Amino acid sequence: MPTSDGRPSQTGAEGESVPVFQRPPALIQYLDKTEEAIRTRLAQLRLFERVFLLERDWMTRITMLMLIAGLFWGAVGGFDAFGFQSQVVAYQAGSPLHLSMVEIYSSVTLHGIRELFGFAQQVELAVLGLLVINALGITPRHKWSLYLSVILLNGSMLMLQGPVYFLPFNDNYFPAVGWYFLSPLGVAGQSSYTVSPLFFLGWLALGAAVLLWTGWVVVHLFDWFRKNRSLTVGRRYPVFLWFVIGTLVLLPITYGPLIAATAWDMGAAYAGWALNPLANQIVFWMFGHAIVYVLFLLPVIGLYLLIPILARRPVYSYRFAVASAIMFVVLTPLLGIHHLYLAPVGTWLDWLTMAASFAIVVPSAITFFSAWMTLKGVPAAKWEWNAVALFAMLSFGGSIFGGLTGPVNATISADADVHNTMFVISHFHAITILAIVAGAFALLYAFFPILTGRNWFSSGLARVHFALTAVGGTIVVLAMDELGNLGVLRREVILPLVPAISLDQMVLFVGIVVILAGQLFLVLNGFLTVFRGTIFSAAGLSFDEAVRLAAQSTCPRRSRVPVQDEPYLRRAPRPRRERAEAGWVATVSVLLVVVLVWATPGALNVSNGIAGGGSDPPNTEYVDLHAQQYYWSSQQSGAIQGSFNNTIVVYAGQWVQLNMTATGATQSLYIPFRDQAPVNVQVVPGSTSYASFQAPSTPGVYGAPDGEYDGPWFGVDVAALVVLPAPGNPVPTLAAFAANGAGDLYNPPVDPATSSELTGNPQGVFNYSVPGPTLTAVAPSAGGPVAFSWEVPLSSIGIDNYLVNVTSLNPSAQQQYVIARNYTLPIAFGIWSISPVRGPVLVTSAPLRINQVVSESASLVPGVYLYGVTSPVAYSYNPNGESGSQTGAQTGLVMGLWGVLWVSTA
Amino acid sequence: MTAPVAERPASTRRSVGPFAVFGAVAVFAAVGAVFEISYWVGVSATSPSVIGTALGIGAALVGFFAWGLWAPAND
Repeated sequence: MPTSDGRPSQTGAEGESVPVFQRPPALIQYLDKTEEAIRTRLAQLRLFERVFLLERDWMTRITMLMLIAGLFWGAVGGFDAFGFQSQVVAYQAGSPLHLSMVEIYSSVTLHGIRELFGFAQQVELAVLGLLVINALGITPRHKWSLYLSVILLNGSMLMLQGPVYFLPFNDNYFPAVGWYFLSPLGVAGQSSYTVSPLFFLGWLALGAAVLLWTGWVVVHLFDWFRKNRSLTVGRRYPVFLWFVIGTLVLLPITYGPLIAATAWDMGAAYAGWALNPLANQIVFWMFGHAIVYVLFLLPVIGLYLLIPILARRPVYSYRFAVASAIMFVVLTPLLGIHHLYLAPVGTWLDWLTMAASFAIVVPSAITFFSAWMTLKGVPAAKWEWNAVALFAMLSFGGSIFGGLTGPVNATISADADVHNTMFVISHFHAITILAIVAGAFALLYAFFPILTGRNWFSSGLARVHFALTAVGGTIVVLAMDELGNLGVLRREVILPLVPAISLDQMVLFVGIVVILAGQLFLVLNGFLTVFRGTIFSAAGLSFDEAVRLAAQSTCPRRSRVPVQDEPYLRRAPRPRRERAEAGWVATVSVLLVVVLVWATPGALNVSNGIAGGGSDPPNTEYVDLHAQQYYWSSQQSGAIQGSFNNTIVVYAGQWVQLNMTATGATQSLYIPFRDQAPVNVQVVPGSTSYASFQAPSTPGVYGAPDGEYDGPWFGVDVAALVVLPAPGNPVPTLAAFAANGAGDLYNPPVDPATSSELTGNPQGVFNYSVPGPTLTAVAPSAGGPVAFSWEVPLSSIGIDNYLVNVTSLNPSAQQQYVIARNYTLPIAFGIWSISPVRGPVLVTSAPLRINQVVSESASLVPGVYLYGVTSPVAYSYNPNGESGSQTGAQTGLVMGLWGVLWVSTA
Repeated sequence: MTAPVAERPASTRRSVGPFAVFGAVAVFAAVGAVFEISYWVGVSATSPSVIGTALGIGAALVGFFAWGLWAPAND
């Protein structure tokens, strides 16, 4: 119909007449109509209508959709952790594993991805969008930009888990690479383990989603600034708004490198681009570290927003709070390299990153001091312990708990001790669970009633949710820390069966269960709220009063206090308050400088800080190590010469110079000595890493696990440092080695050869140990008989045992393969002596027998020998030919059924 | 809607304010973190590399609580 001035028009959604030139494009009209049709139909179902708030405005609907999707991914990610940890506990109990190695490690990968991005990132975007729009009174626009961002974000979560594969069995499509894709692991043509291109496309979609959302908010903020210029000039913006703006600045800085690193990997995989893995990793970590701070800003925003509202007084020091926001933004992009301290990126670059990592303590120190000081003087009678306050308190404490262990990780020399151990994972989960998630829940409890228009149904459920989250999170963090103290590496399933590890893994599992159980109370409360909650109305209330009223529905009635704003008159002048803040900041700054100076010599002298060349000590052993998926090959020159697999042979007290290279994936040589500084070096394909250390003075067999996850056979990738007695000395017994605990739990156990019962397990290792137990025997100088027995039971042969290269839908196909070959596999099992001048020298060897107790015997002179399968077994997992570059593929060279035979002089 | 009020007047028997409770939480968190770090300080192989940072963290904690208790209230 025409407008009053005669121009053509049509009727708008609200029944008003809309001029033709103001009509949205045809595509938007189509989408609007389609959405309306879907919404109308779904709204007929009360469940959808209530849960998704289908009768509300589009901004509310999309925000609710994001929150529900976020909680969904959070739940799925939680069950990923449950699935992984259940297998770890089962392995420790010697029980069969129900998931394959790909499924187990992909559970960790997807746990991280889903929790960090599907849950935390999505909830952060939902809450910040809601905050900006509501707190500033902005009328939201560009609905389909926001919708597209949400669709892309959640679509990316689906893509990152690999293709939907309708044919059963082939689990290669799961991405078992790590929540970060440490290039070149997973890149087709570059690595033995390949993920589907959907994985990389998923990262690109995630980056596009977040950048689109950022643009959406920026457009609204610009509009707001433009329309309110007269109001905003010279006005103090709320502190939380500074942090929101900071987040908006950081998001493109953070996700830009992600997109670049991903595109580079895809180009290398599918377009023949040259790949520099170390450069790619540096670019990636500009995202990988910054994203944690971007997420950490959510609880920071929560504290700066909620604590003043709940306390009914402004932030303690506005100027310091704003300064902390600026410092967070400036410093956050500079820290990525501290994840690469052990890689060959350059000593001074490491040092500068350490300095920047220390510097970011300052804005954190300001934030938590300001939050605490804001509460100083608040009477108990004016404070309400609702769920918002409780979770804010947990986030405050969790940030301190997790934050304080950060400087240890940031100190280069200390990082060499703890890198890739569960200590780091404990620090990370203290931040994510106890700080970020707790902060997100504080905001959720504050804004859910405002979003849904209903008060929380039950304060009791909210309190149980808080209690279980706090208790479960603390258990998880402490259990991870205890595992880290034992030296346990992250992501490892195939771990030594040590009682302390088993106990801590079980405690960790209990913590995960407690957290997951706690979230059920949140979900239940959420459902009851949208269906049975009383009506929430903010009419006549200020923004702060509305937040307090929303929070009040999570507080028992007897403990509630009035929500009205109260007149507030500053009595402590700003200079006095700022003097205290400045004093605290000065204290922290001075301490940081002192610690930096103290840590500098150590930073320049870690084991990987010594480059090749220079003057080496006399009789240095030179070892060229090459890492592959999943073993090390070594070429030694010096006092000991020869080529070995997964073995480094040195004399007691000898200096060792390592030159290391890698293909297929980044690996780490981790020798966790406990009576001297550990050796911990990352080896990145395309680069050479160096290390120098002095071998222990106590002869023995020291475990050297791969510290960096490099694919599904990661747990079997353990080498041995064999320390021989000094030349000319008789071969001692290992009594001293075993008694003084000279090494670490990764050192294989020491067992007498005569009484040992070596038994292969379903993962193809002897007695759940890699290397297998170090067998000891005694022989006269002229030689004498030495014997030990071993068995690889038929029951240990299955789809997860690399010894049989059969992948089939038939669950017993591997055993049938063995039976058809008369229980004999074409893999050499034997004994090799370690010759100082020729490397391993064959003593006896025969094809590997299955399901038979074999008594291995030989006449041996005192010395050190290798036993078992000492050459890697080629492994290829390709069920029915379904594996490939589109679905994922894995091959590798695996060596797990071996150990050291130590024959001492009688 | 009229502005909501409490179900009943705020209790006057409560005496521990949020500043003290958050402070106690900070103490618990600090003790937990120091407990985690202290392990590495206690191991001879790792102590030299961790001790400086650990002492710095300990001193910072003392400073945090000292400045917090000395600072004027947010009145």
